[in-house]
Amino acid sequence: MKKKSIARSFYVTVLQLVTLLLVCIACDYMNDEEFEPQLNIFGVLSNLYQRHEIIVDRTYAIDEPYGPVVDDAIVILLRDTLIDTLEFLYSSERYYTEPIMLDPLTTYDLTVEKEGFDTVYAATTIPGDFAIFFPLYNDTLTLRDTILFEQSVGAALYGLTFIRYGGGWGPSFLYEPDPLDSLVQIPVGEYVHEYCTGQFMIYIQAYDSNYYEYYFVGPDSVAQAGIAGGVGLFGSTWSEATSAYVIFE
Amino acid sequence: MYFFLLVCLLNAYGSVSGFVTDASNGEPLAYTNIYLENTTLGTATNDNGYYIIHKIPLGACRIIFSYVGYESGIVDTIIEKAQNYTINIELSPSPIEVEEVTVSAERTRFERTVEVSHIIFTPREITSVPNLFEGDLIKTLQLMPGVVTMHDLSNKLYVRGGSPDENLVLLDGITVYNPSTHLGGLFSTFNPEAVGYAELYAGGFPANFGDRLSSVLSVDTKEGNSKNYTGSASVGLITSKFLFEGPIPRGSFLVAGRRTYFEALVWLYNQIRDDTVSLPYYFYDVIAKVNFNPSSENRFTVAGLSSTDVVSYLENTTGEADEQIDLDWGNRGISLRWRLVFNPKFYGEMIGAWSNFLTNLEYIDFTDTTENLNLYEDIVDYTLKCDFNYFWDENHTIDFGVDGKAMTVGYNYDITEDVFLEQEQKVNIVSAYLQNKSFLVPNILSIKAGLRGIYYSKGKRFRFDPRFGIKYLFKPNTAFNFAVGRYSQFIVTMNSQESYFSVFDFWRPVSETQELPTAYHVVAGFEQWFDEETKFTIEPYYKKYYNLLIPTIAEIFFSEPTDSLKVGDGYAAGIDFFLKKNMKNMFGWISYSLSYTKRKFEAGYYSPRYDRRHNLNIVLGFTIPQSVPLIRNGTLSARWYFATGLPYSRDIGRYRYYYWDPRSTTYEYDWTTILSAYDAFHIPPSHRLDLHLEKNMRIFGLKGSWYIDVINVYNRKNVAFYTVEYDEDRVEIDEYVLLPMPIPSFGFNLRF
Repeated sequence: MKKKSIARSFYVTVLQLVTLLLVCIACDYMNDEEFEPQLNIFGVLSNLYQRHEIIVDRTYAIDEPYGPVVDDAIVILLRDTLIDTLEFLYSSERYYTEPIMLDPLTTYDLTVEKEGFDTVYAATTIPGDFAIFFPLYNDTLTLRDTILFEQSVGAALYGLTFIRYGGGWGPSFLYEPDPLDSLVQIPVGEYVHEYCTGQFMIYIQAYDSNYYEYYFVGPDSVAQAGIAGGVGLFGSTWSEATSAYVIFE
Repeated sequence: MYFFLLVCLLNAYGSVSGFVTDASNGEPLAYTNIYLENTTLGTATNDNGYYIIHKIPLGACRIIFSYVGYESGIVDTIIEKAQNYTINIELSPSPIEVEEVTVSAERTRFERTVEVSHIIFTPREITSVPNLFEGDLIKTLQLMPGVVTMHDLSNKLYVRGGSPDENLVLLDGITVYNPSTHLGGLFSTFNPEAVGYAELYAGGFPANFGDRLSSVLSVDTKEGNSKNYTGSASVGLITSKFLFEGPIPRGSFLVAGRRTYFEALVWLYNQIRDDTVSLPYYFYDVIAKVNFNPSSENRFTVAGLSSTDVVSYLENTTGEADEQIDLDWGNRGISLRWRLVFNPKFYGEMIGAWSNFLTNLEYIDFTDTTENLNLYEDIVDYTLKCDFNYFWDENHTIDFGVDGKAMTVGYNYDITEDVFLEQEQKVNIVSAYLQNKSFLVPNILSIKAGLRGIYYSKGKRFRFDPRFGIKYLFKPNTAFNFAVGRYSQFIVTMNSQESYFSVFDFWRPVSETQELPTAYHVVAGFEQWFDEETKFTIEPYYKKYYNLLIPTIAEIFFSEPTDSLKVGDGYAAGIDFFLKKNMKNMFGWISYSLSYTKRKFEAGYYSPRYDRRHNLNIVLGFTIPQSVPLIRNGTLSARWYFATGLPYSRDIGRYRYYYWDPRSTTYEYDWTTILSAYDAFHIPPSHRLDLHLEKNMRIFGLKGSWYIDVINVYNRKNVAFYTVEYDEDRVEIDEYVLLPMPIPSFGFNLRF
């Protein structure tokens, strides 16, 4: 009698265990993520140009065939009272503004709408203008010299590009400033590793923090620099130029 | 007057103590039942076979030593005065099958100890479970409740939400830093022939263990046969093993070894198929032990382990050697143990141990010596540990001890004989513990309360980790357990514990500036014995982690200090069910675990790769009836598991990453991918059936057996992980199945 009771208790326990197991497994919700495509924006406003370009593209599911850029989005650039609806140009596959002059330390907003996608809201503040102290026009610049200029307000990164008079490229490099410095000092010898001599135009471009984030976060992560509702970059740059006779030997 | 009465009262009793061992081989019999006939007095032996019975009334008495599977020992004695009598006894195995020994020990342990989440293994359980190529302790542990594995070939232990580096692994008192190093992690360091006893604390472990957050696996090799020279040899598909043991004057010895001949099989394959497959790999390990008993109160044991894996590759494309790669790694260790009975109530064990894990990679480029490099890592650990038990009376035992560890982690990285990186980190960890085991109500309510104090030399920090356990036997066969405790860890690994494959870990001490990883365990347990052979446990648990130091999955911070690791918190919660039956002709168990494991860093909680929600294992083995032709005198066992899928992340999208190229004055782009959340996807559920058939036989008058294992009998293609291959035009998602077909293996054993 006692053995029977024990056996019954045993089998009831096993039954309860199996029932519990089935219930638990049935309740196990596999919350696998589904991919939702977004708009992919790329645009860098620059004071060197009057008509500014915006590329409107999209993201694709990993197993989805890719297509061309988006040509039927509504792209609007806003600044105070300025409302500019950009026009898509098929030859270059990007959207263009009307000719506008950028003002430093001014915020520009961008909205991009396309049916079936979240609307993208983006903003960039143009870095401040700045003065170059060395080299001034036609100074001689060697590897032992230090390029000296005023810190651009809002700049997170500088790009220096040397262009030879009459055509041809010289050195090009990026410099990350200390935001607390009022003057930017770049020891040329630490950044230039090319041998060249001649007269060069030197462009110093101050990039905003969106641009910095986009390039320094890099392509290993999803870039959302200055953008909400999509991916990509909406940034800006303010450029100043000088020229010098370069002796990099 | 009161004192006088007390002295008189105490003088009215005597006590009996001693050791209980197996008459056939001298092995201690842990948890033997010992009782005085016609009284309620009794006790059980401890892990080393030692016992003491207090308060025996003066006069004649009969002491009975009972151990299922052994003939009972009966000793008649007369307690004449108030003193201790030493009775060492050997019990002879009875014709009953030996597997029931475990039942007896477990049942006795159930009645005598306050323990939760504690599982004991015997060699029979390790070798009887179907396995790929050969039995393995770690693989058998993976079938237990609360233990999760990453995939079909993984030999790591993820215990109740803890990563493998949170497990303390001991072999004869030697800390084993990388227990699963053989054949890409397929086999553990523990030669199953040499394992005598293994126990796993899956959580809530007592104060005499420390230095890890999750679990303790303590493995003791066999003591060595002190009666006869015996041994065994076995030949398997990829390894061969031997064991030899026997008596020496006042003691015993054991030596066991194992070597793979994988490279020879590859060579044979090449000869047959005229192929050029190259896998210049082999491993071997040796375990040795010597016991010396100058007296019944003293026992000295020296145990050693040496395990080495070697990859040696010589590239020879032009007729002359072009390049050579030599990689070897392995665990080594030696321990000296002195077990001493100071007096019948005071028992102690002192261990001095040296443990080492070495990794050495050497690359020689004979055509360009500037490419030569040498990468070397070495862990050296000196441990001095003393454990003492004071048997106060029949209801109170006090355990205390100290544990000092001096550890050095050295690593260097040489390129072309120039030292590129060389570092050595030294750390000392000194611990002391005190714990009390008491029967508050004899045979009904017992507690175990302890405190472990630790000094960690980096940052000169002191920690106090309290532990507490209680057991309430509200029926003779039913008990509630509860345990709570705090646990600290002082060394961590620099490589991810979420990798699908990793052979060995790179350990580093936690740096001075970092908080120590800490875990709190809360475990409740219900234990029911249906009969002498069947037990059932339910254990819900909750584990909270703080200051976890975790590397990212893609990176190995070989040269970095622990400061470079991410700091996070986490928790694990779940419930384990375990039903185990162990009969004369049948054994088996069902284990089921429901668990939730989360880690938290800046971005919030996520599931690590080993967060397996449901895990079911069914193991069933039985002796084949005599009526079955050909395979009578054999055993057949089967193992089936079902487990829901592990979380993983994968590329879910892609987009053009634009940039302005000033030199071409155009916008360029690269395709880049969008990775899902870390735990966004789950691998499909996996299940598998494995079989093991072993047939006993006699070869040249010697006992022997042959065995066949078939893994993945019904050819289930369990996915281990996915990879995504893509270019601009196409994307391929490949699934990796590690056991793509039923895999048979076979071998035979010989015992002499």
